Amino acid sequence: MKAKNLHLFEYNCLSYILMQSCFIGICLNNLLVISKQDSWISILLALFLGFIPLGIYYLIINHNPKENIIDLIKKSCGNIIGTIITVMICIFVFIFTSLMLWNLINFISSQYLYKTPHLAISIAFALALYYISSKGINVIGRTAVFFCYMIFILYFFSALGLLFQIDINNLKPSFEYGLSPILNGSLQYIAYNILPLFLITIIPKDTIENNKNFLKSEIIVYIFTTLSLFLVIFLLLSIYGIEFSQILQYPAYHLLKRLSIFGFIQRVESILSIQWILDMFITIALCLYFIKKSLRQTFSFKDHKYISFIIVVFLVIVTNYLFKNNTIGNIIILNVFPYLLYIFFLIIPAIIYLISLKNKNSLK
Amino acid sequence: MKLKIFLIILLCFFTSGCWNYNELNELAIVTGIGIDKHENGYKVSLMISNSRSTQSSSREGEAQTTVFTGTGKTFTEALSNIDVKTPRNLYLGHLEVVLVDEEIAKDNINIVLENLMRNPETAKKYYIAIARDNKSEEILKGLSPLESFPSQNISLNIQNSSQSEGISTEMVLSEFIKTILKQGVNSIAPSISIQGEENKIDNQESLKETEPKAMLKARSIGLFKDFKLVTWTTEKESQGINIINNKTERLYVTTELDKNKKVVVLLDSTKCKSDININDLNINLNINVKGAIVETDTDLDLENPKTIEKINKSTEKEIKNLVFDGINLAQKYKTDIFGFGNMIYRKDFKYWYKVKKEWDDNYFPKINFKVKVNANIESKGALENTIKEKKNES
Repeated sequence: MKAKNLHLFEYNCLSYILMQSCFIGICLNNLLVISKQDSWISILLALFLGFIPLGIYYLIINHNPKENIIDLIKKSCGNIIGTIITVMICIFVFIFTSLMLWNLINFISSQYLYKTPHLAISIAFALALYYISSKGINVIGRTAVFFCYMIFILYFFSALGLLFQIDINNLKPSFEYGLSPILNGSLQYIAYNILPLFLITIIPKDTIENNKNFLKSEIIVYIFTTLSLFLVIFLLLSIYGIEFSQILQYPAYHLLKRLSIFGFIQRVESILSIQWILDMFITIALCLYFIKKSLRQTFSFKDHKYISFIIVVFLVIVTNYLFKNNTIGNIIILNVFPYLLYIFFLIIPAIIYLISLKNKNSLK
Repeated sequence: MKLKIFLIILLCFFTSGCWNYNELNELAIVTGIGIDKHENGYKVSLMISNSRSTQSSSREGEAQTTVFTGTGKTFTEALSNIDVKTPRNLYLGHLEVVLVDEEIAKDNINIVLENLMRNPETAKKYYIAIARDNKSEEILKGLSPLESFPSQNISLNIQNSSQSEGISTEMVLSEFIKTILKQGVNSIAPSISIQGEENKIDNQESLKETEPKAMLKARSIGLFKDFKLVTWTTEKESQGINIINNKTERLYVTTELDKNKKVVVLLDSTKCKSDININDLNINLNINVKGAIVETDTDLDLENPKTIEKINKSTEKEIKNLVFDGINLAQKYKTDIFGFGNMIYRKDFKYWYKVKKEWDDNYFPKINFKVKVNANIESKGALENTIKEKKNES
């Protein structure tokens, strides 16, 4: 019997973090640009539309519980084409990881450490990332659980301190620009907040303990995460209004500056915003695990520790030269990256699944 | 193993948070900023609150702050000019108040807002106020016998006159910008000036006297149109504006029932609901106030419900006058500081886009207001009746 090394709760925590990590600084800003004051409606619409990619990932994971996505690619497309597709996906996951690290560094350097060079911040994270990614999925899972508890507590206090400042008038008028921006916003949300769930297809279902309630728990996590992100944008728009939210680089962080719990707990934005750093950190670690595992499976490497080290070093270098400046970065994040996410995290996996299904049927 | 040890040691260097660190004694903690017009462009004054005098002096009222000034073509240039004069690094994280010269406010306040909003160091929760009739540099230097830090003196002054009198308004930077950015609404800002002998405002000796020769006073509100200050209100107009904007916490109203029969009422709950009719541009304001009698030098029979009703009616009339004072001023200067344009935008955005460009100049001044006040004087303080009436009875 194969060793089980990830508990279902750890798996759920990873899913929760994956769905949240691209929200602050990436998806949230895109939503404010596209859907404007109707961004909250976009998220609610995305809650329903998101069941499509969620269903596809479930089918992939369930296709053969002993295998992961890389095995499926190899079996469906053969050795050569399978290797090419795997390498392409790995390159894209690497770029996605780099984008996450860029966002993380950008957030830290613009809000806390504005005098510290980006390279110094990225090296500090790189060391921790190297350590966690060299340890394997069980360590990432356990860390995710620990971080999740912290995130829940910080999220609870953030929401509590802001709930009483809501002004519903700031959400009006609704549907000012029609349905098209709302739908576009939903697609952006799905791209950045639901499609990264593709990364957990690297974990074979059989390696998850107590996986009887796998689907049910994943749906609960999905709904819970989407609603918690809905609350973030609802609070932001109802407190700040669309115009003010749009000019801020990190509006959600700025919103935390207004937080006041019982009138005396104030100026705690730096502590509360740690939840986003934890989210991004775990997602980057999982991305690194995905790349490492894929390469090992495809090219049969033996010593994986050196792979981790090389990937992390390469990641730090690429991240520092990813975008020429923030303006270009934001344009690419808004206009280019969502398409790539749909291609690599949804269309290609869906095609591979269909091919595998066809192969299965033809064998019968 | 060697690699692990090497990494652990390396991690210590990178995670200690010591990059570009600043010790407290190397920081100049700025609690107040004043921006004035200058022949070179701008003159910026910074109130540093951890100057050496804090270590040598602890006497109440003695200045524990130092004001540094610098000039430049831009706000940033003026700040850099100060930076080279101070031996410590300027730290804006504890900024409490920003004073803007009246001249700059009348010209364009955006120059100040841009820089302060972009700076990640500031918490954006500090007050913004206009220095009225005095330079902001002079006001920043203003000493108080009650507060050690002038910046604290200014912010508490604004808070008090806003909360207990309704003649000023509390306006933090982010709120000010938020209002400017919104469609169909213009911003307001509190003002502050020196009362008394202006040249003695920074005089330590003056503080030793029973009645200081000069002190700071929060004054009425400044009305903005986009980024420009257009006019000042009187105290009555400020109170009216605060009532409509639901920013009144406590308000003393003196009503005259008959000749020489004055009653002072403290209103501790004021709620204004507005409803707009887009077709004929009519706005209905429903104002509900609750309060208590705090003073009267008459022989009114306060145990008679009819007397209370009379006071209610008289208070309603007084509130109505205050509200119309505020409305008339805003309409005269064509600036919608109440956000009625925003209300139209929320209700019917298609109509709003038709009138948006001309809203302030052509539509807002022509709005008809119907004001309905409902006053309820719930209590009479610690006395049931007036002393004079009781004496008459006996």
